[in-house]
Formats: sequence, C-alpha cells, structure tokens
Amino acid sequence: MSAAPLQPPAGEDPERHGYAALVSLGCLLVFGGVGFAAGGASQPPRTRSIHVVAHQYGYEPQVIHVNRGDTVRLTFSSSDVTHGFYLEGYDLDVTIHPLLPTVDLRHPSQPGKVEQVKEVTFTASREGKFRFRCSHTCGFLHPFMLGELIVGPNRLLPASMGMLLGLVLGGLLGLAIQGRRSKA
Amino acid sequence: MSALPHAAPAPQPTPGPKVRSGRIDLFLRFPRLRWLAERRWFQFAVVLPNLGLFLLFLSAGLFGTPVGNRNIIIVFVWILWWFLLISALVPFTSRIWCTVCPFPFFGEWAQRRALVQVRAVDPKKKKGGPGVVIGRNRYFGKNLKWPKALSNIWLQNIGFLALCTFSALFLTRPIVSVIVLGSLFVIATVLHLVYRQRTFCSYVCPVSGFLSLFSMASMTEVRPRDLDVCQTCTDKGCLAGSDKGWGCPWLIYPSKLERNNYCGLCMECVKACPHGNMTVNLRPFLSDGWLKGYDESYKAFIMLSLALAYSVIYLGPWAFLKDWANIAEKHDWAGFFTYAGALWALALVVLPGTYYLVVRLGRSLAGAPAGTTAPPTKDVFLGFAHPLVPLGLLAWVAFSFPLMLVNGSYILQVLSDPFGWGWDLFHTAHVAWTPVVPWWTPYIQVALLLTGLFFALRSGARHARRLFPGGARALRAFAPVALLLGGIVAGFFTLYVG
Amino acid sequence: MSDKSLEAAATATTALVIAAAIGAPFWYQRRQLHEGLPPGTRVITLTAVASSGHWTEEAVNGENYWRRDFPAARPVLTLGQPTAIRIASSDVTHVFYAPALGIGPIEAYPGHVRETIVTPSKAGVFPYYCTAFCGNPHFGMRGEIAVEPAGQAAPPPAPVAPGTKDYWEAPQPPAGAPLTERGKWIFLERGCVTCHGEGGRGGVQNFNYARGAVPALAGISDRMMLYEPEDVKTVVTALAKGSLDALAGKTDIPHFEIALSQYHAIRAVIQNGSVSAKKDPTGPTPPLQMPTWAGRLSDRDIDAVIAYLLTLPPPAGA
Repeated sequence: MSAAPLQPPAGEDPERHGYAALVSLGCLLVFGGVGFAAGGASQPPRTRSIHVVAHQYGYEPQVIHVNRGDTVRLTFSSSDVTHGFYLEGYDLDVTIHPLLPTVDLRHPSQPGKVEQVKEVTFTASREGKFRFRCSHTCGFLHPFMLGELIVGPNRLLPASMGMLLGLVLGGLLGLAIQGRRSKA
Repeated sequence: MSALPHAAPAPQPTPGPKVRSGRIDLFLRFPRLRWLAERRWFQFAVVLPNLGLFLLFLSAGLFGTPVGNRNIIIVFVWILWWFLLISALVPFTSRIWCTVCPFPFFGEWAQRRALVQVRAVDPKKKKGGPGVVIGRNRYFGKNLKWPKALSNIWLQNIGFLALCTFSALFLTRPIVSVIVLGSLFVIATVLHLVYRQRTFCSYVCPVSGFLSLFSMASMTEVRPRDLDVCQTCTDKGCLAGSDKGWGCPWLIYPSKLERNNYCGLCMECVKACPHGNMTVNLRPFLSDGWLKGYDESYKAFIMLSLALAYSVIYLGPWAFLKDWANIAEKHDWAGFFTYAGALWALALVVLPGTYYLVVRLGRSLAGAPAGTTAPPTKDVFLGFAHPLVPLGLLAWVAFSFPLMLVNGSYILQVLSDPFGWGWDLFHTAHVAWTPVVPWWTPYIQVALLLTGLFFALRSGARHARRLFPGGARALRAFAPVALLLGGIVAGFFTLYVG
Repeated sequence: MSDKSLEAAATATTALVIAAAIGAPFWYQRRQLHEGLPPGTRVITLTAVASSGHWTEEAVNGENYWRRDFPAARPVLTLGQPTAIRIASSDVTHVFYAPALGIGPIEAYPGHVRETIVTPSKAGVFPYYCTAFCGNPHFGMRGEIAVEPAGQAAPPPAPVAPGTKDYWEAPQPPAGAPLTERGKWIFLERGCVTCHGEGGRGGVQNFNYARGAVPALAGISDRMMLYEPEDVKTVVTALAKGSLDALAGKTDIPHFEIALSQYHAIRAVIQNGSVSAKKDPTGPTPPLQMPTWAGRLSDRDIDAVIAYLLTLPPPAGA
C-alpha cells in the first residue's frame, strides 16, 4: 500500500458546485433536444408479415423492426412447448400451442376474452422499443424469455445519446470554468 | 423490559451545534430511534423474523414446487429482496441489510452464547473463566485472527464473481438457491466458530462486498457525533466493548469511522459508547468520496461488468446467450466457458485494463508544473475509479427495475401460495401475470443511468481538482476518463433503448 | 426482567420461530388439502413431469425434481367414492385429460394446482392423456386410472404406454444414411410411434374417435397402390433424390398418378394435422389428434417419414 492521500477532497465553495451542475444539466437538455429532433423522420406505412417461432428460451426473429404506422401481421409456431407472446404496449397476449394450427389471442385490457386465430394483426401506433415476453411458464429460464419490437423512428435513443453527450461535455465545461475561477 | 436493573440511565446527547455539517442527526431528531437502537434486544428482534422467513424460503426450495417463478425462495429472494436491496436499502439506508441479516445468527449465537445480553468481563478477573476475552467482552469458540493477507475484499470479489457466473442456475432453480443460501448459513456458522466476531461478514460473505462498495453512496451513516468527545475518550467502549455493548463486531474502530464500507449497522457502538456519542446521520447521496485500495476498485469493475453482462443476457433478446449461461439444462460446455471466460475477462482484465490505460493517458495529458511530479498513478487510478461507485449502483438499479416491473405479479402469486402447493392465502394465487407499465422501462432506465453518470462525473471532477490542482490540468486529466464513462453509459443505452 | 430470564425468553422465542417456520407450512398443507371437501373424500395429486414424460402420484419438489425419473401414476379409485384429483405441473404447460371418466381437459399451469372431484360410476380401467405438447416425451405421457368396487383387489396393472424413453433417445443416423433410416428415426424420436404403434401398426385406443383406434400407417404402400416391391423401391429412390413429382411421365409404375396424389394427400395430413372425428357427436373430444407438423418437420424429413412408412409390411390380415 502506498501512502495514498485518503482524505476526501477539501471542502469547496458549494456555489461553484451548483454552477457546474447547472452547466451540465443545461447541456444535457440542449443536446437531448437536438438528438430528439434529429432522430429521423417517419417512413410511409407498409404491411409486414412476420412468422415468429417461439422456443425455450427465445424467439426467432429475436428483434422485429417496423416503422410507426405499419400494419404488422404475425403468425406463430412453437418448436417445443406451450409459450406465450405478451407484447408490451400493444395490449396483446398470444398463447402459442405447439403442433396446433391456431393460437389463443387475449387482450390483457379485456380479461376473460379469448379468440382462436391463425394470425394476429395490429398497427404499430407507438414508437420506441417494446419487448415481447413469454407469458406461459415454459421452463427454467421462462422469466427471461423475450424478444424486441422496435418501432421507428425510435427517437428516445438519439435523444438519450444527446443527453449523455451533453452531460459529459457540460461536466467538462463546468470543470474548465471552475479551473479558471480558482485561478482568478 | 426497557431498563435492566443495573443499567445506568443513558447519557443524554449533547445538544448544540456539534452536528456535522451537511448531516441531519437522526438520533437528535427522533429520540425514539435512539431509544430503539440502544435496546439490547433491538438486533435480535429484527433478525429473528428474518431468520424465520429465510428458513421458510429454504424449506420452500426443498419441498415446494420446482417451478422457480412459483416458489417463494426464487421470487422473494431474487426478485423482491434483490430489488429492494439494490434500489432502496443500499442507496438510502446503507448496510441495514447487515443489521437484519439472518446468516450469521447461529454463528454469532455460538460465539457469544447470548442472543440479547452482553458478556462483559470484570477487568480485575480478566484472566480466568471460560472462552476468550477480547477487549472487555468474553467470547466462545476459537476466535482466531483472520490472516492479514486476506484482510481485504479480494475474497469477496472473486467469490461474488464466481457465484454470479452461475446466476442462470440460482435465479431459476429453487434447489440451487437452497444450496447458495444454505451454504451462507453453514459457512457463516463455521467461520464464526473459528474466527473472531464478524470475520465472515467483513472478509468472506459475497453479498457483503457489493454492500460495502455501494453503501458509500448511501444517504445514512453511523458516525461519532462529536470528534472531540472521541479524542478525549479513554474508555473506547465502541472498540473494546462494555457491559452495555459488544466491542465492534465488524472489527473496525467506530470513533474513527469515515466511510460506510465496513460498518454493519449493528448498533453495538451506540450502546457501548459511554458518552452517547455514536449516532445515525442522514446525509447527501454519495458522501463517502474515495476508494482505499485496488480491492475496492476491482469490486467496482466487477459490479459494472456484471450489470452489463446481465443486461445483455437477461434483458436482451439473444437466446443463445441464455443457453450458454443455462449450463445445467443445455449442457453446452463450450458455450458456457465462452460466456464465463468473457465475463471474467471483462470484469478482471478488459474493463480495469482499459480504465488503467485511460487514467494513464489523462495523467500524462495533465502533465506536471515545473519542479513538481504528477501524483502517483495509483492515487489517480483509485480517485478516478470512485465514479464507478454511483455509476455501478445506478446501472444495477436500471438493470433490476424492469425485472421488478415485469415480474411483480409473481410476488402476489407466491404470497398466496409460497410453496406452489395450491394454497390461496390472500386470494392472489391466480392473479394474471401482468407487467406493470413495461413501456416506461426505457425512460426509467435512461433517467437512472443519466443520474448515475451525473454523480460519476461530479465525483471524477472532484478527484481531478484534488489530484491536479490549478487551472486546466484537472480538465486534461479527467477528460479521457469522462469520455470513457460516457462511452460505458452509451453502451447501456444501446442495450436498453436501441 | 433480569438478564437471565430475558435470555431465556429470547432462546424460547428463537426455538418457536424456527419450529414455526419449518412446521407451519406442512401443518397448513394437511389442513387445506381437505378443506371444503365432503368428509371421506380421497385426495390424489397428479403432477406432470415433462422430463420423465409422466403424470406421477409422487410428490415432485425442488429437492427431487432434478435427480429423479418419476414413474407414471396408476391411481386406483373406488367405485362411488368421491375423489379429489389435483392436477399440477412441475415444469411446462400440460393438459390432463381422462375423457372416459369425464375428467378434463384440465390445463396444468406450472406451479398452480387445479382440483376436480370425480365420483366414478363404473368400474374398469380408463386411459388418461396429456394433450398439450410438452416436449418429446409428451406422446408417451399416458396412463390409466383403475376404478374398482369397494373392498375388491385392484386388477393387475396393464402395461402403460410403451417404454417411451428409448424412442427419443434413439441415436440419430449419420448424415449419409439412407432416407428410410432417417425416416425411422424421426418416427421414433418425434413420437409418431407412441400413437401409430411400433412398425406403424396403429391400434392405440382413442376415446370417442369415429374409427376407435389410431389408424395404422404400415399399409400406405397399398393406399398408394404400390403393390410391387420394385415400385416401392423406385418411389423411395425418387424421394431420396428429392422429388416424386419428377418421376411423373418417366415411370412405368401402374396408376402412378394415384400414387402421386395419395403422396400429396399424406404430406398434407402430416403438415396440417387432422381433427379426429367424434363417434358420439355429443361426447367428449377424442384426446388424440394428428398434430400440425408444418414448421416442425422439413419437407425432406416428411419425405423421409413417408419413405420409411412405405418400407413397412402391411399389418397381417389387412
């Protein structure tokens, strides 16, 4: 062990701290806003047909990319046991029976109602990242069985990257300003 | 029960301006809290229900359903307990888990041969009698000193990493959870019989390691109220024990407490201090501002690496990674060793190595004014590793949050049917599995990580100014580290939002 | 309170808490098992274990699940005595179905227990099934429930579903093996054998099914009107080469167009499954249904199965 100086940093002017924090938060908001605004335009809507295969413990495709406004038509099969397909944010809960031609469709907002369907269709009306998860216990790693639906333009990503950049640059700027002041 | 017959009236805390700046003295503010902490039965009373609960969990793991998400041992320990620990107990109440922890119960009982009372030794008759006398207390068992070479948290670092390598097993299989929790009971008891006081907790317990690191951020602390009182104190009851409290079981010197890391909040020093000078303070987030050794910095690297790896494996869509981690079911040894090797390499080599190089870069960019030398690399490294405390903590909260939102309904289910035996105690055994506002998850995670980054940058900037005083040197030294921290958070964003 | 008595009280409380934590669940379980049931009701718990491929009467718990191979349950009920049957699952979703006794289909969700009360009104031996695909052993996940008059000795247990484990653990033939060998392996490994019988001889009873038993498959060469062994060989060779359609117009097999259309019909049944028609339209759904194999078996593997079936001799007396 070297004789490291183990004292906490010497007491500082709290006002200057506040100043640096303000600079950081300001940059965070500005850059985040820029990221959000630059986050890409909407694409013309189209229809996408996707076949989802559920297995212990995941989905194929793992990630589904669509754009806001697209009509998404999903068909399902399971390659081993009974699985679910609970899509966050879209009020869909599908039970996938292996070796059966139809799936059970439920809408969690309307409990008790079950339909047997061959295909599930919905409009991707909300943008962002939504996970679909298994809703039928299907073995040990069931709670971690999930896939992703990414509805573009996913502006939270550029916005949060912008906020991140703003925070780092703001923090460094604050440090620079403090350096100047302490010299002065 | 409140006053033992021969107990002297408790000394009144000195009123006045002696409270440390930036602190709220909870014992002054809430005298009942102080009263409670001073009761001999206090810790016993909070540990015992918890002991009963954990024995119930073990029983459920053995005799309840093998379905993990329907067995209370999995749902309460790894979903509820873990979530509370990382996102509430540690950030706000320091190591309060250690106050209520049941694992050392039997060992400590055997060591003290007392559940409630103190075995104080009359200084005149110190030599005779059974057991071993340490300070002014009498203990039973061997009470050996822990080897100096292991008096750090390296064992906990490696133990925790090794344990977490098998997380896919104990998170999902009741029997593996029984083995993990059962071993904690057994190892704690054995070590209590052989080594003195809470050696197990301080140096061996795998949970203790991350509690010690992240308790630095906590908003609660046990501290002496007035350092002058400690300076003139000749009794040192906090260390040596007295007829009111055991000497610090955690083998630290309470009157010199500066950081939360190794204080288990057992409240013995509160009882033992003859001046009533030990207190519990409320304080700002991340008040403990520095790391003391490479062992602590490695804890930070391991925790961050695990948060990253778990986010990829458990929150990501990649089924093959889950298969690799799920060795007991999929038997893909090549995959398991790839995963385990990558995890260990990331935690022990890649992340610390990158960090070291970046710190070195910053240090050389900062340079040194003529006639002086730059601070030693170790100081700079440990200083700039401290930002990983808030960042790691918030990354863990960000990782744990969606697990709670998604699996909260399992808590209701097992509350009514803890063993999966078909009970329905509270009529919630069959509530539908319903994730709670899962679409908020990315927003919550971004907010949490940005908060972590904010505190990380603030800590880094403080260390930069301390290590590289004067103008732009601090900026040049810290800039590469700040960018690296930003890069790490960007990685999390890609996983959580992208 | 003195030190000593406080310590004694603490010790007693500790003993009490430990005893309660360990004992209370078992006490409550004994109580709640019979709660709400008419007095004298028997309670039988049948737990589905996918890895063993059985419904078992034994207690399946965290401690024994990973190391035990659970035997199939063969409960014996007493005529006229109400019995509570508790259906549980230890891993994935199963469905318990004993149509002849009017039990089910009951979905067994992992970790949940569903209870039904039966009062058997006729003696005999009645089959039960799992009707939710729960892994490869699923097709062998059958057994029987015996019902006997009170005081009478149970009839000797009939052999339950064939020694199923051997099937799914049959070694996969090497890549270069003949198509028929692969077909045989799929027939065993995918569980076709458990309903259609060894050598495709059929015969497994399907409750309330219009044709009684699951049809034999060994006769499909006759259905395709391939009566000569050489013709069968030609067809199998064509399947091995990749397509039966390619043979059209290039073979002297009599009625080849019938063989071809039968081949496509058989393929369609394997791909899309078929619903078992009821014998008694008001009776329960027959437990065994031809599953939908599209997406689970490749075209090539379906051809392999058909090629294997073509090589089987028709059942005696056909």
